[in-house]
Amino acid sequence: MDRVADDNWSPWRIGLISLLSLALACLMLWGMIRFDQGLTWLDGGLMLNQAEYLDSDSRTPPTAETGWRYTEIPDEWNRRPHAGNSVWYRLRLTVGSPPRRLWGIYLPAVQQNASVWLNGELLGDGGSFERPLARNWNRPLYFSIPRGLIEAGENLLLIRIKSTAANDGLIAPVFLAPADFLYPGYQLKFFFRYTLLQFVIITLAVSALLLYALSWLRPSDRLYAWYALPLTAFVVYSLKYVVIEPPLGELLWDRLMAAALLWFPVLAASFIQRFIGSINRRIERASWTIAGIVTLALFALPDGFFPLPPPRIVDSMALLFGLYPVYRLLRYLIEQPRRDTFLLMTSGFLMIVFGLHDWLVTHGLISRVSGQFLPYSTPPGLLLFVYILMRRFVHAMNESEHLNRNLRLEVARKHRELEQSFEQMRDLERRNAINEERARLMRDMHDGMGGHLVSLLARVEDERSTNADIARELRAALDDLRLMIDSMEDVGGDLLTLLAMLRNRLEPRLRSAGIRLHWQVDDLPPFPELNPEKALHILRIVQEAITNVLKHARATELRIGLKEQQGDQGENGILITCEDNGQGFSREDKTAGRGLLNMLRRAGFIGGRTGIDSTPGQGTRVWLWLPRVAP
Amino acid sequence: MAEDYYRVLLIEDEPSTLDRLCRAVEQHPQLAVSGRAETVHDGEQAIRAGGFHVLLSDLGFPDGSGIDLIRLAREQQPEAEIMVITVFADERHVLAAIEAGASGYLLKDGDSSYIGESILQLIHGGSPISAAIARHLLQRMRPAEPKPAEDAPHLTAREQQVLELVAKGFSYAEIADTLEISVNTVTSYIKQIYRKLSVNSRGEAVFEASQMGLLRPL
Repeated sequence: MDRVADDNWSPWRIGLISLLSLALACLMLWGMIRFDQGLTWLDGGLMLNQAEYLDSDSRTPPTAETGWRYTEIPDEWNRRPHAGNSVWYRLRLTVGSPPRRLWGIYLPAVQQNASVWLNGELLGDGGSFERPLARNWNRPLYFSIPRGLIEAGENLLLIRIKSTAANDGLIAPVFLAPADFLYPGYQLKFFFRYTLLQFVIITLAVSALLLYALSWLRPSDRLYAWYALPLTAFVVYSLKYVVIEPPLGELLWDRLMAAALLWFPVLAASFIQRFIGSINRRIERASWTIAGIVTLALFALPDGFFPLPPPRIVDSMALLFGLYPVYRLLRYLIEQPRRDTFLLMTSGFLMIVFGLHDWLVTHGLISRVSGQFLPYSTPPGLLLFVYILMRRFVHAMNESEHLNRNLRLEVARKHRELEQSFEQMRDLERRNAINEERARLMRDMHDGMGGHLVSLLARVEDERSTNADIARELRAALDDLRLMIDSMEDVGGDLLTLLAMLRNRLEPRLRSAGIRLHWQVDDLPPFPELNPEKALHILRIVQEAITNVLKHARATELRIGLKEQQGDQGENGILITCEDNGQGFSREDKTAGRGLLNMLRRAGFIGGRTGIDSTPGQGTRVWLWLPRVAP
Repeated sequence: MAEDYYRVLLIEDEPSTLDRLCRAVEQHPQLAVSGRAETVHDGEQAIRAGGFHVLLSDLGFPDGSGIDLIRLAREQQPEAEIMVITVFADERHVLAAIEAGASGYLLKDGDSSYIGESILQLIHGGSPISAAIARHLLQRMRPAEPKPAEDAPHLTAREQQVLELVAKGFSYAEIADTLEISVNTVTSYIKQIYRKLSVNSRGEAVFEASQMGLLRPL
């Protein structure tokens, strides 16, 4: 919340502005009373301020001629000893000639109900005269006078006033005037004292509901519920001024109003203590206990138990209790001068001043004609709270927009970072792949070309070598280079194409050696794990087998087979076979043994198995089995 | 044919390889060397001069690309057969040559009888094709059925069958057996496919040629 000033204010300064705000509260009350008086004491028309009265409970104008006494109006019964709760007033009104325009009669304030009779005719009343008695606490009354009822000469106006308790009774001045003069004044007063109050009460009630909802939805904002609690009590109490014919029965209604009035300052104190964040538990417990006991007493004990009418006991307590939260606010303001605290304290002053006025009115210490004003002191406090809420809301909105914006930027930044790191990973993968491939090529060159070139060198240096020997060695080197190139061809995992490439290479040689090739291959599904390295090993094994046939077997037929075959453990796999009808060899043949060892080594590299089955004179069968990785 | 032998023009920048090829050609009774060149510049002149039935050309030259020579020969001497000379017959080189207009390839290290036979086979309509090249063609040339309007060259169903069998390593004779057609028909299918590829890839050829330029040191 905002600070009033940057540095702490001195107590003097706070005392001064507190006094000023108190003075402001008094000024507001004075202004209201003045405004209300302007609507009560109309400047013009016929004001009747003298009457005779008769204590009588008669429903119709009393016929008795005796017992009437003179009084001035306004007349407050509580100033008269032994008054009853029902009084008849008789007013005389002398006119020269009957009025031509429509006239009306205006009663700005009566306690609590009135019926008006002119020349024996009932003009109207302010509601029920039976239980429950209509309560026109704040409602002015107006009656039209039928044309022709006012006669030349003396006219007799009889007004019956009834109140719930004898000392509540009041009749304020009575006005007679042409309707077009009287009625606007009445309407303005009606609006100010009645409609406006209804409006205030509804606003307070709706605000309380919204605050309850807010704190229910946001448990961290319980403070709003604490604010809504005294508001609720006040709304209940204020119903007193706008409900004309009370429900629940008069007794219960009055006690309910009294209890609400008492709880208002108690709950307000609880709210203020939480607002300033320092709770005096002892005071709170004591005030709640007292309010609880009084409430119980109000609802449990009969009317006769109380020395004074209960509302009058309770409103004194409420006024006293009301001082505490204002006192706490003042102390808090000295500790931490903040604008919010100051404004809240000012609205507290307003309530205290208005409450004091009403207390003085209720207890007959000042004229009751001007009526009660406490409900008018609440809108500033409510507006203040709405202002605080609005500010928080705006702040939260700005904050969340700010956060959203930052979040978006943050997300975009993270996104970029991720992309970068993905790019780096891809780069790394690419480099790894290149390195692996480079290492493989080096290995292949070393194993294949290197070996061939070294043995070629040996041949060339050996004087016994013939050109044919050297050409054979060269051809072998070229074959190996071709294998490397073929192994790098992208065959899309097609093992058959790989073998077909080998066939393309070797077929002319087989043909010139007079060997007939049988291509006994099955169409196989792709072999995804067939990378260049595997491809090269497979090609080398098969080429080795075919070259051996060319060199040693003296065969006329060669069958190359490719098919799917399960392994020993039933795993899926592929079998490549190379079968000739040549002379075969025996186990003891050392050259064949070395070739077999080479093939076994290569098969081991690629996770496969290989073997040579041969019997002298019955051909040779070389096989290579490769496992299929389960999909 | 007025004469009883075929004249061969040889363009190859390696003199010993060129000599070897010339010997192999001359050894064959039906073939004779009509000219030889060691650079693109000389090769162009020889092609423009004409007078050959078969052109054998390498791809990499110090002063240019063999692809340009093949394309020039296809334009200048449409009747001549063109073969590309290659060490490895790898798919990339051979396809680029075929797209430029060659209809066969020749392995540089083949012995003389292989070289002579291959040339004569080509003259008689038999284009060689490897499994790897067939596989590549199958991927590149979609069958005509689904969308005949596409720009890429299309294969007929029979051409597709032939290519598939080649890719599986079967020889022309085995394919002829399987499809119950003559070996000549099989070779004519292959030639047909080569021609489609060459006709349809004039634009691509330029691109391939530039790639070949980069690959020249091979």
